[in-house]
Amino acid sequence: MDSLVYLVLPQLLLVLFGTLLGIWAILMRRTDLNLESGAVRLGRVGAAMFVLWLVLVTVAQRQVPVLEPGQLMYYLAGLIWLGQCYSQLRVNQRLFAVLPLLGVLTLMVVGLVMGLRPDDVARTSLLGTAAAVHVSLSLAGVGMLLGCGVYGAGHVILHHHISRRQFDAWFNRLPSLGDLDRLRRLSLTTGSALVILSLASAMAWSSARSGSTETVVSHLHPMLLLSVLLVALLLIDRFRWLSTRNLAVLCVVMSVLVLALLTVSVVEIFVGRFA
Amino acid sequence: MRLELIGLNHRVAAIEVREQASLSPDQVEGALRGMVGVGNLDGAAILSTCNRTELYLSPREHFPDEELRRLYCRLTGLEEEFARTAYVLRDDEAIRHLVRVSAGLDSQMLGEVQIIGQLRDAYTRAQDVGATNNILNKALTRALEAGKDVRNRTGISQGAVSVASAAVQMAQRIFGNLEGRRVLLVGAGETARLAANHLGGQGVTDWRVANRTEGNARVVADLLGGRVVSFPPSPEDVDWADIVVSATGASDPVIAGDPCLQKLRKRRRSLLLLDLAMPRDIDPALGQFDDVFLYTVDDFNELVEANLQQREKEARRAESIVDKHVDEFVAWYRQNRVAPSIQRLHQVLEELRRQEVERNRKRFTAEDHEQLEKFSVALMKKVEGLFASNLRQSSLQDDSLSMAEEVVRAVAREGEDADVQEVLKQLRQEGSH
Repeated sequence: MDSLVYLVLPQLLLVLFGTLLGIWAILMRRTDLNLESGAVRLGRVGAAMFVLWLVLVTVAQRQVPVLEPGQLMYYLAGLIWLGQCYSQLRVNQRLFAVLPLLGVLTLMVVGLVMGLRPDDVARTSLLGTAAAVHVSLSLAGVGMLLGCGVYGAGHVILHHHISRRQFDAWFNRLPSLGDLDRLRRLSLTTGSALVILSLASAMAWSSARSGSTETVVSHLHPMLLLSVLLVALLLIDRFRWLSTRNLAVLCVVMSVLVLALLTVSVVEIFVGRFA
Repeated sequence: MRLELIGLNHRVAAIEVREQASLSPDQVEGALRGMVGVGNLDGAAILSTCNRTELYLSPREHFPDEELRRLYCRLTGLEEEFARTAYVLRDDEAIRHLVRVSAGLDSQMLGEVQIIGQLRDAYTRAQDVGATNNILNKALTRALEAGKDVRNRTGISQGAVSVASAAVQMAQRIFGNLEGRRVLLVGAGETARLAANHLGGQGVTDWRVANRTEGNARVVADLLGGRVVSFPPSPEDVDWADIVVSATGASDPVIAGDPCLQKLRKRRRSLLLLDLAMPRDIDPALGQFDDVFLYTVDDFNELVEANLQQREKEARRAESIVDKHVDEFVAWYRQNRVAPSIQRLHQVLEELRRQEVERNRKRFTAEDHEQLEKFSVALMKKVEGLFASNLRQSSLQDDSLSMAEEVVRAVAREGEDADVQEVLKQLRQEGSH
């Protein structure tokens, strides 16, 4: 069971997503609607396999995959892909699927290199429902916000092509500016809500764990900062203080920041006082 | 049975000749009813569009060229001198042409999609009057499949190839679905109406129309179900719209000025300005904002050119898909040609078997008769299977007829049967073609 959960299935998923990237690489060079719909179906198989892995790993270690940095990376990769499949149901992503796929593969490789098998130290500090809820909400929120950044990047790319009259594959096979904007707003709103919820759950988790406000404040610094930024971004979006292109650029910047804050948070959990 | 075609298209005939050769759906049905089942002809289908009128025929034996041309003239009412330029294609060449037509590779506008619907109509019409046979059913079905396959697996039909459709393509790149989008139409001439038609076809229903002559604006607004606004349009009207199409004959820009600039500077929604006029109607300064996309006729020409080049590139890939479909059909077609010979061979062998069993029946006891029957049937099937397999194999290399003749001759010497002689006669006839 251990080998299946920590080695075989994760590596199979990596192969599947690698194959998917290969297919999309072919589709970047030529149009093939049959191959494209095949790639979409294969992506759904990947999402289903990830859910299976998630269930198995949760059963095996009696905790969602948050016990190791490697597990967190892998978990985040899967959540991003689930979000991508959900977005695909709303708007046909076409060539755009390449961007999240690259992110997913990078996170999976990093996760596998760091190792998925939990050690005993981490197990004691991160077991429990509160930890599972906080980290899952946090990762899902971060995943959505990273998606928001990627949609922003797509918007900037397509805007550039339309403005500069570059009629190439990216011009023809990205979702429209309107669709990208819709997806960006959806992921920003959902991601912000999830991050704020995870902030609340983190407070509960940290208080329950140590009873020390110092610990809570220390761990929540990055998340508080992120929440403030997100609220500001939501206000800018709501009241249209910037052009859609500039807003997209801001979302890209925000997602880079989110990635940095995630890293800080993970380091703090696994290397800092929680370890 | 054979497959052949005769036709005229945009490559070999001027539009006047094509017009004359063109047949209405009623005329096509009448022609098919009159042709099929008469003499040598076993099946027929007619494809008649603005760019081609082609007869697809499946006769028992090929018609001579001259006879085909006469038939074409009789059906279309074309004078014989024009029919001389008509192309006649047979068997492999005929199916290749049909598949290329379906794929849009033989169209005036490379990769056009209407042809596949027109071919489907032609097939349905031929089926409705009972004019198709096995060969034509297979050929037309294969061509339709190939057409779909080519469009699914290549980008040959993608990208606009006219200025009006390029404008729609650009609008879709910016807004996605155009349903519910608001359009301000400036001008009521032919270009403006054409662009409006294309946008209307994509679901745009909310219109405002501005034109120097209000009466003309009203006519267009009534057609579109929109309302008339002042000319030149106010900054509020421009800001109201998602898409502005301007195509007037004005010598100075009609959408310009500081108020308009001020309005668009504050705008935070995408606005597509389509300037289809020459000289230009829209001040280029309006295109400076992030959310405003200003496109002129030159830009659309560039887009159309890029799309055409892309289609040319995709055509090379489409040809390889066509090859695959043609090869599969040709393999079936050649095997199908030896099917009657195999059937006749079966009859001959079965008769021989039956005679031999009867002749030797008295040498066996009554209990053994059933075993004798089973044994002889099994043996006959093995021998027949061997011959049939050889025939089918060699038919793929196109020397099926000599092979078939040898096989049946061998059987005929043994059986001295009248049917066998008939088979030989038939095969000799096939061999002569």
